[in-house]
Amino acid sequence: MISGSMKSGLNSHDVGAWLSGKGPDSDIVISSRIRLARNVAGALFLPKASSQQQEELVQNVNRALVKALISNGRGIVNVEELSPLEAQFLLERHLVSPDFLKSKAARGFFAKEDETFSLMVNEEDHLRLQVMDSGLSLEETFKHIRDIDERLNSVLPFAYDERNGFLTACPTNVGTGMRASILIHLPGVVLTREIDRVLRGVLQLGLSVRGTYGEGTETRGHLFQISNQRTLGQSEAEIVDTLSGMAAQLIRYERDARGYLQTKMGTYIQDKVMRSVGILSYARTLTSDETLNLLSALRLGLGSLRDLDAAKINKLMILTRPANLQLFFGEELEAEQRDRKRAELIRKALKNVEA
Amino acid sequence: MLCEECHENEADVLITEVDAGGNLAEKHLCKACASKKGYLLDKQKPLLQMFNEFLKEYGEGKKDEALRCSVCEMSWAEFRRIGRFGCENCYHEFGDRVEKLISRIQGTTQHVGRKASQDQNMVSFEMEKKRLRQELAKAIQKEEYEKAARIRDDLRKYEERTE
Repeated sequence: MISGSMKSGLNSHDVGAWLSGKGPDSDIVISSRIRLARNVAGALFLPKASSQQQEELVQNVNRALVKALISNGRGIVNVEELSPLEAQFLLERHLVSPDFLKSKAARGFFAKEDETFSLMVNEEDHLRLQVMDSGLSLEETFKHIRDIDERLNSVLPFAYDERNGFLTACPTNVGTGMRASILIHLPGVVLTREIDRVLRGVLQLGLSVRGTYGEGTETRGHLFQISNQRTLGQSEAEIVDTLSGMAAQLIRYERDARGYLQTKMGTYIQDKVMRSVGILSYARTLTSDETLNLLSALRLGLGSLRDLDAAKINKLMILTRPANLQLFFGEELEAEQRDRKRAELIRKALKNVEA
Repeated sequence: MLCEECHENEADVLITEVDAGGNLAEKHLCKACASKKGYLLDKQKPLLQMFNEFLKEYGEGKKDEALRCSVCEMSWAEFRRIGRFGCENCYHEFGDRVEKLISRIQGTTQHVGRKASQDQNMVSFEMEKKRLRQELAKAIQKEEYEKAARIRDDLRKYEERTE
């Protein structure tokens, strides 16, 4: 058994509100996310700060969170005190970055219980604020993070100048310090071989794509992350508008592609969906990657299957990741045991799913 | 399984595609062939790559290398190596080198987004506190304890105001 509750105070039995499957077009856009990079005025950036200064900064931010009524008393967690399993759990939930976990600096982490807001202290910059929401809701997400940013800034001065905007450790983030992104599911566009053309358009707009495309179209769930590259010379609203516009276009492409597939090869698609229902409902062992692919196919069946919604698929997508799975069951598990427990969890969740 | 195209490398990409007639075909290819046939997205030239290219090319001269930020003591050479500044003052201290860099990767140097909503007094307090701390350290080092005590009192006043 894993003893004690989690230091981060998060719930290993449920997932964050950003996976609620609610919000506009949430059958295709899983989530919207905005990150802001900020540095505290007058304090040295990470490469030059001594470990004592790094620790002081964490404390400083902790006090500011309380003063700005952002933290609810639980406050910032010292990352070194997290178990490796909990650290991995946070990574799987997109609340921390891999670099953050590898870093040797004094680091702090904070997340609201519903995971909509989280914060890394001393990642590459002093502060990395993050707000996530379900579906395509970049405007709401932006309002949310702007509010937190302003409240924090009223008690904590940020490194800023009129010319270059918010000053960041790396000049690729200077200006707004903002990175907005969406996580989008495009199986139809991939299957109709339009993905290359579509993604080229995304790049032409100055957006960047991270996905798993290229590792084989059948792997890793047809999920793509689209985000802005440049952080200077565009206002936050322009960045949000560009990305939202592109997202709307991608959603249209995806719906068209699915319509085409349905007309031309409805049986093949239905077969793909029903096979994934079959395997997920009856398998006794499931690996993590296989699960992602099957859940991707299952997502295509949204709307045609009973007792299945986006929230359920999103939840399974996260809870079946290795660290999340172990914390869900409250025990450390070897790979083989995990595959068994994963299948058990999914079987229970999908027992009433049928055509 | 071998790549269906070159029949040499191990196939590690599965391509599923639909032709105009709605027929489905699956092909097993190796990465190199999949890329040649345009199945894989060309590697984009992202911001980060441009950034690294700039750092490699720019300011190799000795004069540039030795340039140092007066606040955090980061040198231009060190910045070129790690790609991260040591403090906000680096942006000013490295002057037009930074301008050129930012202009190259961001396409502009002028911020047009939101302004910081902070109280500018607080910023100057922070700067003043920082200056006083440095003076305090110097005074102690020189064993000027009376002066150090005065500075410490001033510092305390500032700290009370910003708490």
